Amino acid sequence: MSLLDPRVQLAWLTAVVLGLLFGRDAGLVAGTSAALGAVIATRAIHPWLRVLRALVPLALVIVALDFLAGQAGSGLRAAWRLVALATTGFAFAQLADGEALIAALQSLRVPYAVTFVLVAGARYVPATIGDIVSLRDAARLRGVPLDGPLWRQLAGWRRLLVPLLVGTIRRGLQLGEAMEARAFGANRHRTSRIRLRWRTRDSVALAAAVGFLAGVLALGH
Amino acid sequence: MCLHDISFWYPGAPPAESSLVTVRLSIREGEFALVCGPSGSGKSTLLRLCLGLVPQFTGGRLSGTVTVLGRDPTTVRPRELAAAGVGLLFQNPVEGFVEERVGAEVAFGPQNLGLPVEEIDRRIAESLSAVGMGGFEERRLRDLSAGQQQRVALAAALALRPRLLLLDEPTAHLDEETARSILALISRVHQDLGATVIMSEHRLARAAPLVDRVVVLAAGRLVGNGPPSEALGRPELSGLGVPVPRVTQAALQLGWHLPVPLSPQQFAGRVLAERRTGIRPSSFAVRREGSLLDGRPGTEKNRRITVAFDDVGFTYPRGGFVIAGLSFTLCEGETVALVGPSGAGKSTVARLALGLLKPARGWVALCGLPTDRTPFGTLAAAGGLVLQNPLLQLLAERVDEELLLGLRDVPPQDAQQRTDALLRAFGLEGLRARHPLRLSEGQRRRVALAAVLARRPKVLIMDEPTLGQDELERASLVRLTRDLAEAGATVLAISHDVEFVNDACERALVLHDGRLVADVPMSLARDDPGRLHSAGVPLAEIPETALELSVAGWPVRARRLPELLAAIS
Repeated sequence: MSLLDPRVQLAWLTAVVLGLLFGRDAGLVAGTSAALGAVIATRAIHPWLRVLRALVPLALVIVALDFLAGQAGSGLRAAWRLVALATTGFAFAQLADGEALIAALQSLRVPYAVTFVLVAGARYVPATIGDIVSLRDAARLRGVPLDGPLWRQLAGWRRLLVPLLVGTIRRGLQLGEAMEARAFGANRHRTSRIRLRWRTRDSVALAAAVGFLAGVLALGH
Repeated sequence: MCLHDISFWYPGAPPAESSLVTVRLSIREGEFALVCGPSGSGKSTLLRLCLGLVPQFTGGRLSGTVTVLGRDPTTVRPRELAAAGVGLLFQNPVEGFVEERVGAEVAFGPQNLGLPVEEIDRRIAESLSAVGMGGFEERRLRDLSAGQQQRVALAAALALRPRLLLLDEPTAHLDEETARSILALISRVHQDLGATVIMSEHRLARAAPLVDRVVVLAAGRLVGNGPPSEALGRPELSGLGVPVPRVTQAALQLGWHLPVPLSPQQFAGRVLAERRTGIRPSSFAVRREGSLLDGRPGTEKNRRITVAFDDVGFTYPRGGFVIAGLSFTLCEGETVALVGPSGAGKSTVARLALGLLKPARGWVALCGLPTDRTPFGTLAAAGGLVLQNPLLQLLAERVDEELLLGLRDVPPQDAQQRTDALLRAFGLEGLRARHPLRLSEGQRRRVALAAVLARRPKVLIMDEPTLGQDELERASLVRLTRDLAEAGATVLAISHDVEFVNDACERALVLHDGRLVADVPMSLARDDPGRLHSAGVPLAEIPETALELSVAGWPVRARRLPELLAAIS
């Protein structure tokens, strides 16, 4: 059971993402701090570090391109923003419960099919990571270079894209079949088992999220 | 369920390549029917047709008429059929899970029906209780064992109160013991609920004795339909790749009359009944004492060690899994099975052996090279890995390129010669220009294996190599495994397939909770099957039959079919 109502969790996600995107340097600092705090609270440091490691090449490309364009500062900020956004998404995925999140979105009048796709999409991440690890291992054992200079890494990883895509599509189709086999969409009035309860602490946390966003936007401008 | 002259072609299939060919079949209410046949025979297509997933999800062309619970599944949406009482259980439950937690997963179907919350809660409790998973509602699905996941998947299907339950190879991903318990559970559920059950399955010696009827498909045609003993008691089925129980094959070769036995127990019972007058006293003690790690067969003096684990410890970063104190060696020319329940750490051991993971404690050596101090490129030249899912191993755009991909460090002419030879050996010559991902499942598996073998690894690790393979494909894999060992390679097979382990391997390592609990020669299957079983290696049909006979006082030593025939004829 989560400490906060999933609608408050969504509000915090929105506030941090908007702060990172539009809050300039103040937003970057505050958003990163909030995201890091959430990661520490979930005690999922090692998996988060793995996410970071996967992002490093892309972040370096961003920095390098902006540096070549004579805008080194802007490149650093963009790379930082990318890492902070990934950290925020990671923390949210760790904290949120799928069923509760669907109930929250439904209470906000988002259609069930849409909410389900969002939540199921997030659930794909671990399976996709597992596929990438298997593909990487199989490729490395066959001598396909996935390390060394950047151009060689890119050439190696390019080979993994098609099987990864095919595997992901296949998994999506299987999930579709499984849902259909369980009467998904048979009744327009689907029952929700979750009864959302709004408590005082939710009001406080919501006010804090609004305050956070207002603060970083004000500081940034 | 009634199929009348059903033929079906997947999209793009030529007229001569239909997946079902004028199939005429009726299953009565309350029957338990088993559908079997070689890979690609149309089993899954038949089951999916009953729920309308074929052709509504797959596309393709269908002729003939189908009626399921009085409805036409080619026009009624699958969701409507599901609501009307048609349930489907998939081969791999993980791919069909929709929710994160057990309770929510079971509730998903009833929620879709719009049932009141109280009724949904009642169904969750009843369904989980029926599969022995009461009290697991709040557990995360990913934290469960494979057997528990399959039980939850069955509970989720039962929560819709199905009148017709379709089960697509429900034990394919399970170890032998778990598979037996799941099959027993399905049989009990069928008896308790009185629902009609149609199940495709390849463990026929376990499943056939439980069902009312067996339907045999080969190349999309109905080639057998009747009571299990009659449907499977035909000599020509083995030649079609149908996984006919070994004991049934033995009975047919002995010229026994119908009903032929379907399981080791039935076979042993019949042998004893026919020889009741002349039973000899048992001279075949079933030993259970003694350390199962004594006298490791891998340390023979005349063979070079290729893989060595010494007091190896390993933990994943989140602490999810632990390998502890693992020590063993593998030698050149050995064929070794790595067995144990799902989640025992078999895949982790394979990755440690090849240097894909580094030990946290102790050391691992591959062909004499310590994996934590040797560049990965050097290790990769010595080891090869064939994954369970070939889709995750095929990286090139043509079949021949797939093989050449791993041969960059080989002179071009040699590489081409090696590729050509392997394409011929694996029957892939005519497919060399095709995209590997556009091939059939069986062809993809062959390409993946050939691509690994192209690098001539000294150590080959195969993860569930017989998954989805029929009898003919399995027999050819057994031959290949033996040939590789004869040529000096070490073959380590992670497998739940007890028949493959019995036929192909000379030694078995048993893992449990990340620890090596037994290291035994597979010759025990002949010499002391009781000891092999107590070591944690499930017995194949023939050794199990021999053990049954021995325990009943008729000492028989047999590991393979000809030995059993010779012993009792």
